[in-house]
Amino acid sequence: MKIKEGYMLKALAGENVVINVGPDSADFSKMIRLNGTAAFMWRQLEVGKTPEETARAVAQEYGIAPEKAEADVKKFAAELLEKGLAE
Amino acid sequence: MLKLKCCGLTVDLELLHGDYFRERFREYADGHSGRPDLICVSHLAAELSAPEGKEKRLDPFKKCVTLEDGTICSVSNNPEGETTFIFRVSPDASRAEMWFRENYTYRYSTRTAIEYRYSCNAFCDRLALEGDMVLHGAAIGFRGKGVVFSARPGVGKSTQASLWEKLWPKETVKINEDRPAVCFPGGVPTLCGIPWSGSDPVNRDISLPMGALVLIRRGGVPRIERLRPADVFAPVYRELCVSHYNKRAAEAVYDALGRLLEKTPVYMLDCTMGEETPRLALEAFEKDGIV
Repeated sequence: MKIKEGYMLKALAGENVVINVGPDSADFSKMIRLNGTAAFMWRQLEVGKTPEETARAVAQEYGIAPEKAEADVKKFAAELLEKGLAE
Repeated sequence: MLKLKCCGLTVDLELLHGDYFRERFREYADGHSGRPDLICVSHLAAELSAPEGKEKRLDPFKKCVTLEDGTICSVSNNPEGETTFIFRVSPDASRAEMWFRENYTYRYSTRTAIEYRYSCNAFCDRLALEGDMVLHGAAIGFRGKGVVFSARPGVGKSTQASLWEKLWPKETVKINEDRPAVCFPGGVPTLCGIPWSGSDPVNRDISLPMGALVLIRRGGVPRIERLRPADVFAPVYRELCVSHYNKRAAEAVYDALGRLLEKTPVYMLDCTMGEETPRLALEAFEKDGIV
């Protein structure tokens, strides 16, 4: 999976916000806020890392069990796909 | 050639209906020389042909075409498929051109209205690329601070501005009832008038430090609530004036919005058309030390 073109993560007024700067930017249902961990995952996926690689990075960054990281990334990825932010 | 200066930008307009714009924008007339930050020129042509590039059809009568060099074109056609209008703006929004068909009656608008709208679009993108922004709203100055009432059309933002002027005429000045700008000289969010103001003639060249951004909605009972920045990205972004096709400009506007929200209180105001609404808002502003 990969982040769709036009979507990007921005730190705005102290919040991590996913924005769309493409032709569909009037669709605010896709404007979401991310917590720190989710923002970290986004940044991994954004640069082309696979969900598996992202999970390994999360486990290392946050010192959590690989299984837990994999589950978190899987859930996050599913959410991005459901909202149409990734393909 | 009409030469303007606003928000620190020099703008040259060479439009078909020059007299109209000279009168309408007179407060912003400027005598600058040299290359302007934005030049906007209109042309007439017997026939128009749509430019070739990456197309996105917006509706049966309009498409956006992005050329190889990043130039963005908005192209309109009539039901017969003939191209009737082309708006081209360079990637850095420093040059915009409008092409109209000669001896052609535009069905839903006048040439002047089209020139007005698209010259404004070019200005908004240019300003965004400078790190500033234009938003839909009715802007007033009150006790030396800028207040913007922002809402979807028809909710009553101009009514609120008028009520403030009526209640406190010596302390209130209307700046722009449709689309003020927010600039950041020295990092300070500053409300600035611009020449374009929609159908309303109020377009004062006044700059004041931002006091508050007030999102309004109709309510049975007046109520005001201060919002967290995170809760206002979507409703405020909806009111920003920027091309969705110039990605750099759109991204820059988000950054400007972030800067605005970091330093400017934002309120949600449930409003009625009566005087109790501005009185309630003023009470909140005074309590929060805004004015």
